[in-house]
Amino acid sequence: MTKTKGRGSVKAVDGLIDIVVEINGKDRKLKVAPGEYLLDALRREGYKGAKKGCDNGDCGTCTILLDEKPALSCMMFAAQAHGRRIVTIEGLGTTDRPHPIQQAFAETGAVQCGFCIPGMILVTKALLDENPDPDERQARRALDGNLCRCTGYVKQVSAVLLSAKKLKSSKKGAKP
Amino acid sequence: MKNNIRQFCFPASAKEASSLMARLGPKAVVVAGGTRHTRMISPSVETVIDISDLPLRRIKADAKGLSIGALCTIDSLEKSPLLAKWADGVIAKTAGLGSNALARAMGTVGGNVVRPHPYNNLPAVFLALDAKAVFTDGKGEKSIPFADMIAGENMLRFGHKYLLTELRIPAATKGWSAAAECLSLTKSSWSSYAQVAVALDLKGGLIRQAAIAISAVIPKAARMAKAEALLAGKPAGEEAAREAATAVVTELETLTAGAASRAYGREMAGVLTRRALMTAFGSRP
Repeated sequence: MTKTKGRGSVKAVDGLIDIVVEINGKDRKLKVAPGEYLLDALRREGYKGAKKGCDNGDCGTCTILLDEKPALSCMMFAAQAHGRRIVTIEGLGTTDRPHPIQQAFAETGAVQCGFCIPGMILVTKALLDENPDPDERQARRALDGNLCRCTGYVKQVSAVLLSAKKLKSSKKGAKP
Repeated sequence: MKNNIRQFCFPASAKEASSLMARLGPKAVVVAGGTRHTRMISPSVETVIDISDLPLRRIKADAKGLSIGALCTIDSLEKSPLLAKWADGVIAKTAGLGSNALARAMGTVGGNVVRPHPYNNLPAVFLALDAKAVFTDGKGEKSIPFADMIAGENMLRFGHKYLLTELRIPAATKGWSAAAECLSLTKSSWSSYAQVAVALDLKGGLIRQAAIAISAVIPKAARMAKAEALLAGKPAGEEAAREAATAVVTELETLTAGAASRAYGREMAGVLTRRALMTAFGSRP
C-alpha cells in the first residue's frame, strides 16, 4: 500500500476498502468499493433521504452536508469521505420532532412530491448556519443547485425565510 | 461506479502529493472538490490522490500581490472580503458567474483552471489580471505565467507531473478597473455561449493598459491582443468600447476559423466586451 502522512491510504482488499465516516453524529465503519460513489454507499447503508436524480451533479437531490458544507454525493467517491463528517436529512429531525427548517417547509406548503426536499433542507441549513438572516436573493441563490419539477420555487424560498425566523426564535427561546 | 479504482491516498503536504504523482504516473489522478472530474476518470487510473487535506485554502494579499490557494472553493472566492476590494472585485464577481451553489461549494480554483474547459469561469479573469501559476514538481516551487500554464504541453503536465499550489496576481492590478460578463442559458448553467473579463489601467480618463480575455467561444481562454492594442492610449468611452468589441469579433473569427456554429458566440463576445468595458470605464470617476 502507498503510505502517506495525512489521512493515510486505503487500499482495496477483495475489492473493498474500509473507511471511517461520522454520519449524523455517529462513527461508522463502512466497506465500500473503491470506485463507488458516496450516494450509492449512503443509500445502501439505509440513508435513503439522499436521492438519485440525475446522477450527474445537475439536480441537487443527492445533497448532503460534508464537514458542514453542502456537497453533491453523486459527484464524489465514498472513499473521499474517509475521516470526514456527513449529515444527511435523517440526522436533522424526526417525524415526531422535526427540525425547525423541516417545520417551515411543511408549513409553507413547499413540499409537493418531496423528492427534492431533503436536498433543499440541507442546503437551507448550510445557508442559515453561515448567514442566519438571508434576504430573498440570497435564499434563491442558495437554492439554485436544487431542481424542483413540481413547483415554481416561490414556496421553497418562503420556507427558507421562515426557517430563518424560526431558528432565530428558537435561539431566543420563544415560539415563532 | 468506477471499477478501475483500487486505492485512495490522502497526502498531507504538497511535497508528498507531488512525489506520489511522480511515482504513480498516469495510473493516478488528483481530485480535490471532485465535481465533474470524478465522472471523467480514465479507465487506466488505479489510484485516486485526494489532495483536499493540503493547506492550500488561503487567500492573502501583501506588498507583492494577491495569492489564492489552489484548494479555495469557488464560493469562498465569491464571499472573500479581500477579493471584493481587488480590481473592482472582478475575481469574486466572476466566481459567482454561472454554475450553481452546490458546484461552487465543492469546486476548487485548481480544478477550475487545471482542466480549463472552455466554460470554466476563472481562466479568463486570471489571464486578464496577468496571474502567475505557482506549482511544485516534487523538487521545489516554481512559477510560470498563467497564460503559459494553460498553453499546449504544459496543460497536460498540470495535475499529473505538476501540482498547482496557488495563483498570484500582481499588486499593480489592485487598483485596476475591471469587469466580467457571461452569457448562458440560465444564471445557474454550467455551460455558456461567451465569457469576457476585462482589466484596465486607467488614469485621467485615458486607458494606459488594457487586458481583454475571452472564453467559452474558443476551446481555451485567450487574450485578445489586437483589441487590447487598439485601446491603449485612448480615452475611456463608448467609442473605444465599440471599436474594441468589433476587434474582438474579428479576432475570434480567426481563432474559430470562421466556424458557423460559433457565429452567435462570437457576436455575443463582442457585445459582452462592450458591456464589460463600459462597466469598467464607469467604475472610476
